[in-house]
Amino acid sequence: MSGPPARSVSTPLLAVEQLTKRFGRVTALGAVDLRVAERAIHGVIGPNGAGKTTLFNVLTGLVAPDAGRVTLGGIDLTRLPSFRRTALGVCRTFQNVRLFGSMTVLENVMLGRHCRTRGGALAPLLRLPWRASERAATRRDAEAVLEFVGLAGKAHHRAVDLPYGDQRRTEIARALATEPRLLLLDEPAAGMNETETVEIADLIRRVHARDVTILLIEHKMSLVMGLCERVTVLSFGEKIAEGDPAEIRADARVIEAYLGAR
Amino acid sequence: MLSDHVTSILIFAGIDVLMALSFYLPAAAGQLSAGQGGFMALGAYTAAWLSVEQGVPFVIALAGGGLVAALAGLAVGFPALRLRGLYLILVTFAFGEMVRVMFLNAPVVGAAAGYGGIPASTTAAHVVVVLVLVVFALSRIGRARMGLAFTALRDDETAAEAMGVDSTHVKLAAFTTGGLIAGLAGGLYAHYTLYIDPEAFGVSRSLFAMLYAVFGGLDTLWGAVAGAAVLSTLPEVLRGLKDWREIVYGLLILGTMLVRPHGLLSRRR
Repeated sequence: MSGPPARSVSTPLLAVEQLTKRFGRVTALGAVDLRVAERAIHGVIGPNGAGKTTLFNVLTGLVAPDAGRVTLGGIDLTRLPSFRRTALGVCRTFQNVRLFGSMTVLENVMLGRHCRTRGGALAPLLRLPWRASERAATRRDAEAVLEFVGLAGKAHHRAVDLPYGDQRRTEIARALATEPRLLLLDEPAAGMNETETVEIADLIRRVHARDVTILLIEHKMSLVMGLCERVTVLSFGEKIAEGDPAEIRADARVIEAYLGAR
Repeated sequence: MLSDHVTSILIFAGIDVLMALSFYLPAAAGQLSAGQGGFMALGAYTAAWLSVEQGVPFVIALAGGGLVAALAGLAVGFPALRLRGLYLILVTFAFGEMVRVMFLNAPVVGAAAGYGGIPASTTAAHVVVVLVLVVFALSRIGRARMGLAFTALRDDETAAEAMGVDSTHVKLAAFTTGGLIAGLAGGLYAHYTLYIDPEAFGVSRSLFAMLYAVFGGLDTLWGAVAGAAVLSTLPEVLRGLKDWREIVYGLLILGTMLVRPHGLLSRRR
């Protein structure tokens, strides 16, 4: 570990202990420890193939780890299916945007309300009065989130017809609709020009201001260094450094991992 | 009033629409079934047996057939949790064949000789009532919370799970409801033909249910309704063509799919 052990004042929201995942002979995650403080913007960087996306997949339950433990606010998530983690407050966006192709932008975001609403297949048949009002509430909530991310005018477009930057915003909106405590953003600025990158940084700050803790994978160093108070560096599945942006910039192992110096 | 001939065409068309909807329902959640004929058989035989051997009122027999088929749908749903695409088609196909062979060897319901003496209870009104209730229920569900979850699962199962959808729950609900609808269709069918045998519910029944829904378009339940209504009555319209009928029928399907590859009522091109 480089730098002073600058312990966060609050207890960590997310605690990852000795998390390990192998694919055949490749170690995607080798006993990774990670603590993300409540209300932090925490960056995860590293060269391609460092295990960043695998970390997100394990945190969200899409991939089962070989060893290790994941807890959120003290609750053990390690064995929980993906949808339960979402209900407990972990949600994500995807590196290669995964919106629901046949749905409008609004419907994509309304789907995000699924775990915060009730009503099975029989509910709409019983015509219970609060069901109708709940549907209206779901729509209002989704519209409010779209307003927040700046897509109110595109609610009724098919999500996959939007320009790339707007698709990424839709994904963020859909994740916000689940009311996450911890939001995992997987390269939110990938493929964006400078203006769009500045806009997405602004959006991430506004999400953070709503008391959402953010774990951010990103290749654009300007974005990571500008947003994050703490950064973890992965290389070949190992954590090689952790600290504030200034410490990371100065860390010899980080420079080596990025430049491939020997 | 309508002639007996026209009434009979409408009743069979209504039953075909129900079968198309029974395929559409799991398909709307991305689960393709080639075994809906098996659920129809369970509904038909259960309802017929309840009428013939137990003498229960028609409505009870119909509900009993629907219930047994729904439970079978739930049972088939479990292996379906682990299977996708072609593999799921294979397993549901095997289920349909299994049901057919089971009735072929069940002496209680006539085995290969078929099962007769079923009371003539089904009228056009019954078919219309069941159809309206089913369409009404599905359209309400489709616009509600569960409908969105179905679509999400069909579009991207991984993303749906990551956004909080319990895919197990949705898939089981889809297969159970699909089984229920096929079971109701079977009960109506048995009490109209008055005689049933296992061959009526074989692989061609399952494939036609699929064809109707795909031909109409899988975007909405109205696609299944339109597809079955058109393809089920078309042979009657083409009756004058005699030997050429089947060929023209096939050509019309081919031509339509060329012009509208995602189905009659699909919004996609």
